[in-house]
Amino acid sequence: MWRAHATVRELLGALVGENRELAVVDLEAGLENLSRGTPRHADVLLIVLEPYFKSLETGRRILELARELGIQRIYGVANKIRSQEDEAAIRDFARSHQVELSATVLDDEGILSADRQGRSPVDVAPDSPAVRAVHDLAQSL
Amino acid sequence: MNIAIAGKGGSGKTTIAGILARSLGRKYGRIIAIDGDSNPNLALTLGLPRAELTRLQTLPRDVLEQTPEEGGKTRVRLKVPAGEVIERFGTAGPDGVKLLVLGRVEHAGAG
Repeated sequence: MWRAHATVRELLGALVGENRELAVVDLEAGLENLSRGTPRHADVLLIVLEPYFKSLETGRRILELARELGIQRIYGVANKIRSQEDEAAIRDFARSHQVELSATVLDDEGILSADRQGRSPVDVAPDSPAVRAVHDLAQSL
Repeated sequence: MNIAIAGKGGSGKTTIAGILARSLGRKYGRIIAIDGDSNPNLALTLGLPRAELTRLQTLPRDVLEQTPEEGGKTRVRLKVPAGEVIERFGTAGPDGVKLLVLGRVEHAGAG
């Protein structure tokens, strides 16, 4: 897999250097890409956080590695939020690790429905709270 | 500006990436979406037609080359300009999205 990691890293570097293109990169899940420096050239890193220990623990390690890489803008995105307790868990995490939350995305029926149909939530449920939350995030970047 | 999205497997990373790319594409008219996962699913969340999904191009490995550096180290770099990589291997999607799929694990234990 090292070639895929190197490809993302070099592509991002080239996009930054050459033509300032706007790009969104869905990184490989987990930590390996960060330990290999894959998103070194990213202007913004979004760390998707679910309100569970394992997800937050992975998020914490991603955050550490991202700071080591020197990525300037790092934000958390709270995802699959089902209750106030869920939201509080992510807020606690953000506070104790000094990372700003850029969006809170609810676990809503629109996303589930899109998943079931194998289509985009943007096409299936454009007005769902989750799609609107990510849309607002896009406006804020 | 490029925006990378990280998280644990199953965290909904790809869903966020897909919606975000569509929103930004709508706002700016053009955006590159890069699927760096070895189990690529971004195409679906971006809303590419099903017929496209089975014949998505992936990036050939030979776009990279290793060049020797001082001290016996090697450096990996793109052989062709990034813009050309995107033109040649990207797939057009809705809202000005151009999708680039880096790879897929074809066989267990490969690569």
